[in-house]
Amino acid sequence: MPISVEFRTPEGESHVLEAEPGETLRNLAVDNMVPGLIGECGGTCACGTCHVHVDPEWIGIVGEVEEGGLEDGLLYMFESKSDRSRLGCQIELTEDMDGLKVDVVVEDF
Amino acid sequence: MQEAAVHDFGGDPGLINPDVEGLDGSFDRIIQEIPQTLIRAADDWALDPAVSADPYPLLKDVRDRCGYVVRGENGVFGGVPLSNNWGIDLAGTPHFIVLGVEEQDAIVKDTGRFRNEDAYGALGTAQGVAHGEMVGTIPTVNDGQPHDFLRDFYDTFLNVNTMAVRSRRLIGPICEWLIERMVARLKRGDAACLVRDLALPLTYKAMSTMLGVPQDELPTFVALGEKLFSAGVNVEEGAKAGDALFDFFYSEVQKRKREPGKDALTYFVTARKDDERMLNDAQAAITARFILPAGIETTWRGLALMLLQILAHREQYDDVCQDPMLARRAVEEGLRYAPSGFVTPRLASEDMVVGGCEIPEGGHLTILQGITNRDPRRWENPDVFDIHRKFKSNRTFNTGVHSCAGQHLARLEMMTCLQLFAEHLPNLHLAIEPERVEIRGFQVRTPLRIPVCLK
Repeated sequence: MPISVEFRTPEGESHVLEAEPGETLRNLAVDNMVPGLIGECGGTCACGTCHVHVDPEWIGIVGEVEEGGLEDGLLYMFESKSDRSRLGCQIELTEDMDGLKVDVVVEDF
Repeated sequence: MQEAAVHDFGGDPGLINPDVEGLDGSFDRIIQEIPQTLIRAADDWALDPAVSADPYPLLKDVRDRCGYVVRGENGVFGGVPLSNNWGIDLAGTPHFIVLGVEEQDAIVKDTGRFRNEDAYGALGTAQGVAHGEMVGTIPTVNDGQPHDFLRDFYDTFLNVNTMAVRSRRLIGPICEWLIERMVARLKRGDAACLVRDLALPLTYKAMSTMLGVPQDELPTFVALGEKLFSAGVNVEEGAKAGDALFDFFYSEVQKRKREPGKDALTYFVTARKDDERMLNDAQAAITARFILPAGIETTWRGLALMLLQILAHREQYDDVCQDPMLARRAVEEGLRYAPSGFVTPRLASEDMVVGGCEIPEGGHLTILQGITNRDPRRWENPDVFDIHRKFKSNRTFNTGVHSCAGQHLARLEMMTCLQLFAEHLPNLHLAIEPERVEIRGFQVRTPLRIPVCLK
């Protein structure tokens, strides 16, 4: 069953997309050209250009970043990191994420 | 998006050998018995000595004079002779080097017009052959659907999450044991070297444990893996070593079929898709043989180069010791500034223009990621090692569908190691001036010796 995911951009745009469980948040955004979410490295946790802030109501479902891991180390490089920061390439969408809302974080690369 | 085959696999790659055994006197003896001849650059003997010692200023000059894509004549590019590790016919093949990030990205992301198949020449052939017959299993030398199938297979056991488990339960303990051993050596007044006493044994122990290689045979496999890795410059020796490794792994595959274990070899023979095994016995053995040099040779050299650079810039090492979360920054800057894997080949499948340079169909391109990582259009002061620079991703592992499948493991080994250094070895120093550390090679850059001391 497809699920629904909303991307909110810094410009105030809302992009509501349908996704299949198993797809990554990064691929969903890149395939649908969500502004600001670049995913430059192809989804290998190497560039930080798929940074999102997960909506507070959804961070419990998505899960916080694992402390001290590769994703945490990469996010630590950015001033915009918050306790709701995740990389889209590391979020595999599941059925219980139907209705997920994330804010796209645009870094000054 | 590629088809997600993960959920169809019968094997459970997450359970592959998360714990490590044999960190004792036997491992110490194995480390001591590793011949010094193995710590060398595979292609040093075939290189112009100036290129082998320091290719950066020479190729920066070529880039500034000739542009970001440069055509060669008989292996000479803008006056600089480079090695022909791929075994291509230089007289009969138009050949080029690529020196810019934009050009690199354009090439590696256009898999329809820039092919991997045949681009690796003798090296690719040697890795995919068993007893003279080609057994198509290596993702590096495949394109399209065959590549995607193999990539799914690799990604399932080399993904971030399974690697994270291994970094905690496999890499961390090995690294801590090696650090303790190294400190004991230094306190006894013995010499210690980050190549021989840390990087090489760490990567061999980690990868061989994951694969399921008997630990007492490690030195043999170090030697065979090195010869296979060097097949591009010594085809005969490479083929012999390849056959010996294939025989060993084929025998191990038969054992795993009878008695499954908790290692990658077991995963290779049990992984299924659409109710069929993903790899037959020969392909499973070749995959193991491919991973041995691919997952070890570039990684230990890259780890050693990163540690050398951070220790050579002492104040930045102190910063990491103060804040170990900077380790990922240091790893990425090390990968950018001084990668071990220096080159990536491609073959053009039609006439085209890249970076203002006309590439004919059949043209052979060698992307020099060691140089593209210092592209001044992307990084300010690219020839300076600075972990605090504005972060932009490097191209050491490439991008696109052919990006390195083992990059998470390599990064985690580097990050885990540096974090443990910061915790246990804030007083570690290079024992000689950084300029005296010899680094050699072109295809894969190798520090020969990195002596360290405690102050």
